[in-house]
Amino acid sequence: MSDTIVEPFLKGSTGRNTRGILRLSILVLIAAAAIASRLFSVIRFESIIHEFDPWFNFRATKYLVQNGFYDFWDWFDDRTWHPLGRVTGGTLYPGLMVTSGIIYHALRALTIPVDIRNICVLLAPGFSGLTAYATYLFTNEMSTSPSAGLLAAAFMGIAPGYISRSVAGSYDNEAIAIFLLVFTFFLWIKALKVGSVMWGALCALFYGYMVSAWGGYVFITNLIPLHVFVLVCMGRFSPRLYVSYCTWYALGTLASMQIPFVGFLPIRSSEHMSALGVFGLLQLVGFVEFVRSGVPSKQFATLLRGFVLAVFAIAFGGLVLLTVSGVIAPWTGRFYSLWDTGYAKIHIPIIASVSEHQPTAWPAFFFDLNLLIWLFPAGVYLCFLKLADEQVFVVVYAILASYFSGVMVRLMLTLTPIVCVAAALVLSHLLDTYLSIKSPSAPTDADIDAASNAAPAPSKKAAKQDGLRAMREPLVGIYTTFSKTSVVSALTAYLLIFVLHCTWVTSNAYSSPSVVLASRMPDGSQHIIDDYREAYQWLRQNTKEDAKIMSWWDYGYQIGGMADRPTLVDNNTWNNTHIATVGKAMSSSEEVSYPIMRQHEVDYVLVVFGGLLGYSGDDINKFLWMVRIAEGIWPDEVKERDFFTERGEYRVDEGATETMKKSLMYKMSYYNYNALFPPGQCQDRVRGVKMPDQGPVLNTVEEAFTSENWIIRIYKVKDLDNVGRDHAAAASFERGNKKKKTTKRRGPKVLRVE
Amino acid sequence: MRWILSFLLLAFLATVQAISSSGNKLLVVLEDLSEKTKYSKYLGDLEARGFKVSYESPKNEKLALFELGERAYDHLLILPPKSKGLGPQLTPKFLLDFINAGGNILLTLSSSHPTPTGLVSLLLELDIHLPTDRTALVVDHFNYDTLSASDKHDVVLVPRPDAIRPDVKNFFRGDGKGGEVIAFPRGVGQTLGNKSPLLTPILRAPRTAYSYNPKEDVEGVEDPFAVGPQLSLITTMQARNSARFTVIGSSEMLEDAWFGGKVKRSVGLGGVGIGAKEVKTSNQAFAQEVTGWTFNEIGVLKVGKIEHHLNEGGASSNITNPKIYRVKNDVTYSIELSEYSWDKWVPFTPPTGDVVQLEFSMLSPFHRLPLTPSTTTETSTIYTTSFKLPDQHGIFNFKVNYKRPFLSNVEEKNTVTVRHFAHDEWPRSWVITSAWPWITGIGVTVTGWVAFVALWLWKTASNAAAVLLSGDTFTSENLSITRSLQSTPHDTASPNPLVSSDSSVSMTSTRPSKQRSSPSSSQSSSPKTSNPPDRVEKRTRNTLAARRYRQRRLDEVSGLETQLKDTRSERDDLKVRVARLEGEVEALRALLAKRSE
Repeated sequence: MSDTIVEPFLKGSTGRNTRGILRLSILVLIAAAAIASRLFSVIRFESIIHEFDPWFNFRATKYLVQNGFYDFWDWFDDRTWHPLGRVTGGTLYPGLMVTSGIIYHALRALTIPVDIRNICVLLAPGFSGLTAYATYLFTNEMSTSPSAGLLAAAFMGIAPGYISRSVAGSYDNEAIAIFLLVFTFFLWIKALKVGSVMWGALCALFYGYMVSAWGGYVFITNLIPLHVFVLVCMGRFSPRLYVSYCTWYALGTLASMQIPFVGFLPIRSSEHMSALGVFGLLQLVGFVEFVRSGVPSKQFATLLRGFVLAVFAIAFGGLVLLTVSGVIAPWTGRFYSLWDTGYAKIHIPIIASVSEHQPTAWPAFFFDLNLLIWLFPAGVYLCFLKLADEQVFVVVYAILASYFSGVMVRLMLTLTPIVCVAAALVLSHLLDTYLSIKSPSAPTDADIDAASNAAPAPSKKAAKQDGLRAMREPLVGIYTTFSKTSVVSALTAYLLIFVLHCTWVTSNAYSSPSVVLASRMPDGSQHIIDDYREAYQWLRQNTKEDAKIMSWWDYGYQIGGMADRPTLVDNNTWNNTHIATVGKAMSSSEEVSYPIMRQHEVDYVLVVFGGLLGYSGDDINKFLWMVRIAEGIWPDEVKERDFFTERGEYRVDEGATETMKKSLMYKMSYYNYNALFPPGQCQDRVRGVKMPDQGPVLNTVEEAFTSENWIIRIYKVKDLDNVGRDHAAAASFERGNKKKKTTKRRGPKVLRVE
Repeated sequence: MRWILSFLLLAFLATVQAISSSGNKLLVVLEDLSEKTKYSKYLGDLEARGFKVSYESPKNEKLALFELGERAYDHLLILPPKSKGLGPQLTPKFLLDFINAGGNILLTLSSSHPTPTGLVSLLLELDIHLPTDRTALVVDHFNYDTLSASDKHDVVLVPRPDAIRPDVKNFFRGDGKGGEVIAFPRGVGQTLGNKSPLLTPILRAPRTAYSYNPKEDVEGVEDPFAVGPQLSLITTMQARNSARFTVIGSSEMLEDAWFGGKVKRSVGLGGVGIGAKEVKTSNQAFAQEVTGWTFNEIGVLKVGKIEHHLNEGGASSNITNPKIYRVKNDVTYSIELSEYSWDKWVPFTPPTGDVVQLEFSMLSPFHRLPLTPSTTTETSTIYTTSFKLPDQHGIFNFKVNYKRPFLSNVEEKNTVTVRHFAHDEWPRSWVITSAWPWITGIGVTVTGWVAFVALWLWKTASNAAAVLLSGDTFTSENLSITRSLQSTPHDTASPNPLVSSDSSVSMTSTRPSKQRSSPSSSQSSSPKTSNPPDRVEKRTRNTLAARRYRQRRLDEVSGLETQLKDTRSERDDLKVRVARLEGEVEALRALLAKRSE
C-alpha cells in the first residue's frame, strides 16, 4: 500500500523535487545539530567568552561597534604593550570583528537589539553550520553519489577536531576561517572544473575574506599552487587550469594586499613565493603550449620544454638570491618550526612555549576524529581510482594536511575538513554498494541494465569483460541479504558510536571556558571556581583606570578584556624583547626586577598560583619558559641552569636553588603561603611537595589581593622610599628591626662628596 | 555681608603675618615647660611669623602626632630632652610616619644631654650618623669664641655658609654682605652617608674642627669621629614628598643668650682674624632662615597650570591637554611655577647656571629640552617650549623632573598617547615625486589596455562584416573576440591547424570550417543598426574589396587549371610520339638482325 502512495514522489520531476526538499531539510538538520552540539558551555556555565585570544577579539569587536570602521582601521591601542602601544588596526586580521560588526548592525537594522557579546559568543556555532554546508558543496564536486556530500556535512558538523575551536564562546579567528577555507576550496574546484573567470573571481573574493580573517590563509596560498603544480607535472595543463589559476592569483593577491597586516607580504615573503612561482610557470607552460600547437615539430617542442625548465631554474635561483640578499623576507621562525619540530625549542622559545604549537600526540588523532581517521586513507585511495583534477586536489590536500597536523596540534584544524570529505567518500561508496534493496537475482544479459543500477562499478567491469566466456554471466555484486544487513548494521553502529564519541568529547574536553573552572563536590554537585573573574573584577574596581598590570603574557588579553587595565605584554606576541623583559623581571631577584618595573611604570603584578587548589596551569609551572625567553635576550643575567638543582631537578621546596628562591615569581607565589597551614604541614598540591616553614620575604612589592582559592595573587609595586632608604632597609624597619649602629669601623672612612 | 567682611579681615591678617605655605600648626616638644624662657626670643619669632605653637612634654600621655589617621600638626620642633627617651608617641616609627605624611621636623641636639636612642636610630634610618660617644662635641682650636670659650674652644664660630654648588640657591647667606658670624656653642657634629641624595648639609664645620669627647681623659684625639667639613653642624633631609627634616647640632645656638650676644673670634690658620673685633652673632637671623626653610616658608615650589597643545594649524590646536597626539606633531608645552617666599608666592626663576627641563620620554627620554620663561605673572612664571614629537608611537610622558637641594621637588608627569599615521593622513601618491614613475606606469597600462581593446573590437567588427558579405555565416558565438581573431577570411577557405587545437578559451564554440554549410540566418551580433554611417561605409568598401580579391583568385585558379590541362595534353602527345618512335626503332633492329644472319 505504502509503495503506491510514495511512488509518485519518487519518480519524475516530482521525485526530483522531493529529493531536493529532503536534502535541504537534512542539511538544515545537520546545521542545527552542529550548532546545538556547540552550546554545552553556554548551558553549563553562561554566555561568556572563552580562553585568552577571544577576549582580545571581543574587545576589538566592541571597539569596532562603538567607534565605527575607520576608527577601528586606524586604532592605536594604548592599553596594551605599555608603554609601546600597539597599532592594533594594522596588526590584526579584521575579518572576524567586521563580520560580527556587520551582523550586529544588520540585526539592529531589523530592530532586533542583540548584545554584541551574544553575537560574539554564538558566531562560531553559527558559522559551523555554514561550514557543514560548504563541506557538502565541496564533497559533491568530488563524488557523483548524492549521499557523500550529506555524510561529509554531517561529519564536519560534529567532528571534535573542528568543534575544539568553535564551541560557543570560542570567539577566535578560526571560528569563521574554517568555513572560508572549505568554501574557498569548493570555489577553486568549481573554477577549475568549469574553467570560468567568474568562479575564479569568486574564489579570489573568498580567499580575500579568508586572508582578512586568519593567518592560516597561507595554507590556501600554498595548497592551490601545489595542486596546480602537480597537475602541470602530470601533463594536465589545460586552458581551464590556466584561466582559473591566473584569475584566482591575480585577484586574490590584490585582495590579500588590502589587509594592512598582510600588506606587501604576498610579493615579499617566502611563504607566498610558491604561488607567484606557479603563476609564472603557468605563463611559460601556456606559451609553450601555444607555440607547440602552432608549430607541430617534436624537436622544437622538446627544445621549448628545456627552455621552460631553464627558466624555472633561473627563477628559483633568483628567488634564493633575493632571499639571501634580504629583498624577500626569509621564512619566519614559525615556518621553520613546521619542518623541524625541535627548531622552535632551541631558537624561538616563545613559539615553543605555546601549548598548541606542540607536536601532536598520536592519540589526539583518534580523539579528535575517531572513526574518520581510519576511513581517511581509504577515501584517499578511492580518489586514486578516479583521478580527475579535483581528486588530485584531495590527494594533495590530504598529504599536506596530514603532515602539518602531525607537527602542530592546532593544525589538526586544517586536517579535519579533508578527513571528513575522504571518510564521507568511502562511507557513501560502501553504503551505495550495500544499501540497495534491489538484488540482481537473475544477472543475465537482459538484466545488465538492472544490475548497473544497483551496483554500477561491478557491472561496468562485467560489461567490459563481456567478451570473455568465463565472465559471460557476471556474478559481481552484492546479492545476499545477510552480507547487506551485516555490513550496513556494522556501519550504522560505528556511526552511532561516532556520534556518541563526538558528543562526549565536546561536552568533556572542549566546552570549558577556562576562565571559569568547574569541579565536583563530594556529593557530585558542581562547584564553580571563579577566581579569575573575581580578581579581574577586583582590579576593575580598586585600581586607577590607568594602573599598569604586569603579568605573564597569557593573561594579557583577559586583563585587557575583563579588568580593562593596561598590560605590559599580551597574547599577541609580536615583541619578543618586551616579553623577555617581563620574563626577566619575574625570574630575577627583587633588586634587579624593581628598576625594570619602575621603568615600565608597573603598578601591580599579577601571578597565577595553583598550589592551594592543585591547578596545574599556574605560573610556577610556566616559569621555565619565562626563564628561557629571558635568557634568549639576556644570556648573561638569566640562566636556566641556575633554576635546576645540582642533580638537574626543578624544585620549589626546601631544596630549590638560591636563584629560584630569590626570584620574584617564586616569592610572589609562595608569599605568606605557609600561614595557611599549621607548622610543618605546608604543602604545594600541584607539585606535590612539602614547602619550607619559613616563607619568602618581599620588600619591593606588597600583597594587594589574593583570590578565594589563591589562584590569582596581585601585588602592588611599592614607590621609592620617601626618605631615601633601599626597600630592604625600609621593610626591615617596618618589621621593627633597628639598624645596627656601626660601632666598629671597618676599613677606611667613607667620605661624603657633594 | 558680615561673613564677607570677616573673610576680608582674615585675608588681610594673612597677608600681614607670614605663615608657612603648608599650615601653621607647630608642636614644640619640650620636656620642661620652664625651659621655654630660654628660647623666648626664638619662639617669639615663630609666633610673630604666624605659627600657632603648642607646647607638649614628651612625657604627656595625650601627646599624639596623628589624630584619626591625619596629621595633628604641620610642623614639629624637638628641643633636646633631659631624659633618655622621648616617650611612646615620638618613636622613630611615628616620626617617620609624620614625615611620610608631609610633616616637617626640626630636631635639635645638644652635647650636654645625650641624644635619646630613638632619635639616634631615626637619624640612622636617614643615614645621618652621630658620634658614638654620647657627649662628644665639636671643637675648633682656630675658630672659637675667645669671650665665652677661651679655654675649652667649644664655641665654634662659623661664617655664613656658601651655596653647596654654584647653581644652587642659597637661602642662608643673610644679607650677603659677609662678615657675619654664627656661633655654634657646644654642638654635636653629624656625618652624612654617601648614598642618600636627599641629604644636604646647611652648615659645615670649618677645616680645623673635629669631634671630641671631653669625658675622655686622653690628651690628644687619635681617631676623631670626623674632622673638618665632613662634620656637618646643621643637616637637612628633604624627603621625596618634599617634607623637610633638619638637624641642628646645637640647641644652645637658639637660646636667647646667643641671639645677639657678642663674640670675638680667635686667631685662625695663617693668621686670619688677627685683631678681630667683638661682633654680634647673626644667630637670630640664621635661625630664622633655617627654621623658615624647614617649616616651608622659603624654597617651596608650586606648580600651577600645565598645558600642552597641538601647535599646528586647524581647530584641533585649540584643545588643551589632549590625550592623544600623532607622531611628528608640533606640540607646545607650558608649565607655571611659583616660589613661596616667607609670606607670598613669587615668580620662580632658577639660579644662574640652572635651567628647568622638559623630558618627553617613553622608557627613556626622546627629548630633553630647556624650558624658557615666556610670561611672568604676579605670582608665577610660565615656562614653555615647542618641539616636534618623535617618529615613534607609544605612550609618552611629558615630564618635568626638577629636584634641587633646598627647593621642594617638582615631579610632574603628563601621560599622552602618540599614535601612528591614520590611513588617510599620509601624503597622496601624486604629491610624492618618486611615485611619479609608478603613476605613469599605471596610466600607460590603462591607456594601453583601452587602446588595445578598442583596436581589437574594431578589427573584429570588420572581419565579421567581411565574412558576412562573402556568404559565409557565423553564429553569434563565433564572433566572440578570441574566435574572430583567428578566423580571418583565409581560414574560412582552408582550416588552420591553430584553430583545430584546443587552445581557445571558449570551449563551446565550434570551428568555422564546420559552419560553412550551416544555413543559419545571418543574425550576427556585430553589424548593429546603431553603428555610425562611416563604419557601414567602410564595411561595404571592405566587402567590395574582398569580393574583388576572391574573384581575382578564382580567375587565377581557372587560368592555372587550363594551363595545366594544356601541358598535360602536350605531355600525353609527346608520350605517344615517344612510344611510336620506340616501336619503330625496335622493328628496324629486328630487321637488321635477320639480315645479318
